[in-house]
Amino acid sequence: MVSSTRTTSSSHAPEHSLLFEKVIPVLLILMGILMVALILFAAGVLLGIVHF
Amino acid sequence: MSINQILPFASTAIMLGFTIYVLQRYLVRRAPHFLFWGIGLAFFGAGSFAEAYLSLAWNRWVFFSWYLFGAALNAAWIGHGTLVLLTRRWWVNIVTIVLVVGSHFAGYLMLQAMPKLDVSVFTTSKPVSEQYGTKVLKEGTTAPEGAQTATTTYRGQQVTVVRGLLPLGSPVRLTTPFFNIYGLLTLVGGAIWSAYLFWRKRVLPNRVIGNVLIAAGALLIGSASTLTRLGYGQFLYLGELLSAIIMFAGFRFAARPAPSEAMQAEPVPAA
Repeated sequence: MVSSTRTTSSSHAPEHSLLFEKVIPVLLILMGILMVALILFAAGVLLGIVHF
Repeated sequence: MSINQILPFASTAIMLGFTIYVLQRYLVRRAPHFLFWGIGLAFFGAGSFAEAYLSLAWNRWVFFSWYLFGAALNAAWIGHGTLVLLTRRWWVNIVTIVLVVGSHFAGYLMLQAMPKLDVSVFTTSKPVSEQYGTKVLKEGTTAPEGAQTATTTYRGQQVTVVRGLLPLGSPVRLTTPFFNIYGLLTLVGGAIWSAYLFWRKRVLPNRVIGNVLIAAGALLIGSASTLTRLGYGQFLYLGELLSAIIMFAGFRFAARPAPSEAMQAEPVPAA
């Protein structure tokens, strides 16, 4: 039996990383809030509630 | 030439590179989301270039390009690319048709508005985003400094308006919030959702960071545009440039091969 090699790659977020444990989730929440605020603003313009 | 006149040209150059990069990927892979991203980024670049041009001189077709591609369509087309990537459902084809037809309809409405432009109010001293729309001045409020006002009849009432390039009540202006809401939801929402999925599974950290950067870049230009329309236009050009850089960096980050932390050699039986 002849054997060859196959390489598989996997990539995981580093464990105990401040960036991945704290910063990213906070950023995602803040960006979600800002996105909703901007959508509400645009909807307000569309409905004539916000004048600009 | 002031810094505010140079910044939009720098944004245009970055968007041009970004557009070519994405369209090259489309030509290689033929994946439709690259095509929508490429078209949306080309619209963004056209809008940036038009903004840069209008900070130096007036041209009505450059203004047409600025409003249609820069203010109305670009976010929706980029965001639609994200929707096509994330969802393979049948209804996406219907949304695609609505987007294409809606974009042409917005173009038709913009063409209708072109002969009615009030070119006499144009100045190169302010961003075009601050002077494109005619606004009704509410009773008891004063017009911004340097603004030109007029009295006109609107919906049967005598009103004072701050004059802008597009006439009061232009139908094309009603289409813009639809495109921008859709663009925000799909572009920013799609990037946040993708980042969340990879983050939750603790895989492909480059895609987590790349999508966070794409969402941040899109939110930055969305916020700068909103502030400009509220009368705080001093952040717009810098916001556009930073947005172009951050989104391009995010895209490159997300698209690059995953760092192989665990390269494993497995024996594979061969016949």
